[in-house]
Amino acid sequence: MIMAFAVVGMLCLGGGFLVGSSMSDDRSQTLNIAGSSSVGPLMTTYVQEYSKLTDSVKFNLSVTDSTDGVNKVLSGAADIGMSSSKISDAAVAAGAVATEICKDAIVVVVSPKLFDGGVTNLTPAQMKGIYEGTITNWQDVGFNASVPIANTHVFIREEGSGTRDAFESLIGKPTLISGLSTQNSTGLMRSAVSSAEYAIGYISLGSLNTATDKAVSVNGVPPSIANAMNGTYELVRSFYLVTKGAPTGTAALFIDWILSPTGQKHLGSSFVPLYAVP
Amino acid sequence: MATERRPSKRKNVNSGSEKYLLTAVSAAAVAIVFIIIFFVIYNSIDALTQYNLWDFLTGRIWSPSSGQFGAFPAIMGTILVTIGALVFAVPIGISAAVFLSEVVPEKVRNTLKPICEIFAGIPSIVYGFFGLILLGPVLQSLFPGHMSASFSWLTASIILGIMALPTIISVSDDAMRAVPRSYREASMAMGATKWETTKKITVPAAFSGISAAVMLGMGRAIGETMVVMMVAGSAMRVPGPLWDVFEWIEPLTSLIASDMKYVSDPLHYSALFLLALVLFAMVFLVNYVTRIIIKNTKRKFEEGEGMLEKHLPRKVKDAVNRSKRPAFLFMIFIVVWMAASLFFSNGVSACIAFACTLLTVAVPYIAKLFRPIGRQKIAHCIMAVSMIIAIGFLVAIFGDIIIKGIGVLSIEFLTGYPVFDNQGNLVGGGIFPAILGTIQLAVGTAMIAIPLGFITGIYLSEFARKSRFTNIIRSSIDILNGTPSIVFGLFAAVTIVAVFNISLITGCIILAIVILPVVIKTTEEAVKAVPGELREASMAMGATKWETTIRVIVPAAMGGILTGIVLALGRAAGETAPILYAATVVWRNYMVVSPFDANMALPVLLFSLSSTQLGSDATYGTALVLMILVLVVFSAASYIRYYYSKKVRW
Repeated sequence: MIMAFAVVGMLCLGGGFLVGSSMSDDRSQTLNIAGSSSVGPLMTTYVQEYSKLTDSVKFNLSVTDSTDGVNKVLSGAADIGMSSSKISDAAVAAGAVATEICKDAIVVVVSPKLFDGGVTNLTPAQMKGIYEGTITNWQDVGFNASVPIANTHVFIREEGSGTRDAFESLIGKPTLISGLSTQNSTGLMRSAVSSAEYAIGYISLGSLNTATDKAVSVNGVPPSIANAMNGTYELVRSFYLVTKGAPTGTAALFIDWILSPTGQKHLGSSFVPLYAVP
Repeated sequence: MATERRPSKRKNVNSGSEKYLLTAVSAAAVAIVFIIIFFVIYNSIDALTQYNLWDFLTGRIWSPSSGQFGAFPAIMGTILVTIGALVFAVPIGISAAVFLSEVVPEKVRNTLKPICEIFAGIPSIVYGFFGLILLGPVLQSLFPGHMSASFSWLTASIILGIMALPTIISVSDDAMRAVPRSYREASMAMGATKWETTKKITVPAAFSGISAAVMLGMGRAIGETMVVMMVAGSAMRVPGPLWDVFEWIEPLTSLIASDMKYVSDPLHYSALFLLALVLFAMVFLVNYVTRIIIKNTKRKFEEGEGMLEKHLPRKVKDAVNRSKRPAFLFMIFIVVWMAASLFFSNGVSACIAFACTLLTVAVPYIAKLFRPIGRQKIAHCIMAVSMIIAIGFLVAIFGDIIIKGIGVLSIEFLTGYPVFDNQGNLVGGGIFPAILGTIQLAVGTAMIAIPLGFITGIYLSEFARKSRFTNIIRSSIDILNGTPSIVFGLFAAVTIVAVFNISLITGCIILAIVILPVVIKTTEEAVKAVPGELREASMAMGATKWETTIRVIVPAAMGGILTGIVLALGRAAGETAPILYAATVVWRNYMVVSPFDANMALPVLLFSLSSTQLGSDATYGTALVLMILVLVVFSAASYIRYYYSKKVRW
């Protein structure tokens, strides 16, 4: 009998847990946000700032990658998806609507040893050559010694990454060497490249930490907000928030706030605003 | 009580409505097992039919967007990283175990062993963090020119080896302890030294237990996800020369985990399930081989010859025996040559390998120069060094995290909400939501797994008749127990997440499935350990089987059951891979009140922090808090064990 009581008790506890909480669930609106690890850090700021203005919205932020963000919006698992590249035609056809919230420069980073040895400027064609395996020595791109480019020197992001998608389209869709090391997030890419002896990778300008990461110039133009805004820096893409259909309700309020001058101000010195904010 | 009942009125002491309850609950637990197995197979059918199995197993290009699913590099990755871990862990683990069981005084053993066991419970994410922050950079500076970054197959193997060490040491030690004293005494009486006795009597007698220990460690290495994801380099390629330990690899588990992040195409999903099936098959194979080895050595010990030898003609047997030593020497040559060829030219490595082989040949002759007692001293020294290496690694992990993390702990860090800057760095506040989330996960998991696992365990040990059906149940629970946790994550991603979205309850269900077999097994073992006399005495008093179970057996077995449950919860609290993308978010701005709210968890936070700000205070602090939390759970377990060992005696 004790056992039966124990079982019933457990079930009641579990049931109470469920019921008690579903009542408090209606207290406020919930916004589930999911997607790109390049947009994620920026979104954290937005969510934190927005939470200061109102406490009626519950935010859940999960960071995976752009493709996952769009998929979750389409399946209804998320209200807002974060994408760091243009969403696919298939997603648009399925009803996804992308709102551009800011621009971001993609920064090509190299390991400190390469940077100090002279690899400080690359052309998009050189980047393509490195990722396709047609440029085989670091000396060919300005390094002061002859070091063959090994597979282990070239880093990529996973296939679902918006940064990878944007980077590859910006440098002309390279046919990648097979078996390159895949870094699963912006953060992993950063730490992998900066801790390596010889390495090249790409991250978002917003995630660039100038103390540890060595960013190369593209066609002689160093990556910066100013250069991205005046169009001289070539590797620029947009960040999007994706909704199923045009944004409505809480999601619309939130997105409008991000697009407002107040929202654009929070881009700080890391991301490129859509328009000049005073 | 029992006196009020009139047993004569009962037709059968076994029957009663209670039994149906037990059967129903156990059936539910077993159904879960079968559903998962069925689901994995069912979902991989698409990939099997639309994609050629041969191409899947041997193809070298994995590119889901272009419809290419070549899993060969990942399969090789799993095999290589596991072999690497064993090469590292087996010699150190076994000699440390021998040292623990045969050499050191009882008191030292009693302190060293619990320390070893605690390390077995540290979450794998902490080991991965250690690999990234300390071991990787150290190896990188040891082998400049070979390791361009801190990742490599070598780093992953060493970490997996360290993780397998506590299991190997603890289980091997138990096996050697179980060798009857009389064996040792007989050998010593013949004039053998302690070392000779160990070498010729104790270790061979405990061989089946030791191989079981190795296989357990191996199972853990095959199924580990977080460590390989963090330090193996995630490159889908087969190493240049296969033994190039500085190459980067991507084992099956980390491929599944990283693809799970963005998978949406049905064929891609199916391919991931096929990967899981391959992983299943590998774990199953390891378990099967273990069983054969154990059976064979038992036979060898009892009957003088193993299964294989019995059926072979004498000529072949002699040939096998004669070629054992040359084969061993040849293996030494090849292994040394492989290792040396990474650093030197082929000619030089061949010379080194030859020298090492000669040295191996010479060892017995050199040993003869010493007196037996001298040889014993040398052997004990080597074992002591192994023990120091094993403990040293573990202390390094602990020490590094404690020293750098202790300063971070503050009231604000433990109770505050995280504040991130717009680069994703945790710049202020604390990790309270993650701590709370982990506790909520553990409690929720307990609420699901304990009733289910406890009742199934009782049913299996006390009520189930021995039948083919019970056997099937038992072996499917074993399979579930050995299943890498990422497989459950994958299963959950398409089932539970589809129903409950990313939420606390999703996490609880996934973790409950992960620990269910452990709870069932420990309950069953604890109940089995209760002496039969207690049952008989109770039944003789006229109690029914149900009453006996509830009033006599369960209280007597409570210590074992509770210990098992608490240990399982410790595992749930530290588990990362299955809930990484399926059940947790990185940030939320409110307290979780409903099981349908999204949840944060310490291990997942640690994973995301170690990718954005690896060496930062916040990361060390989070690692320390997670470690402390798990240690508290483990101390609770050992207290329960101690408390009941004093209370219950028979």
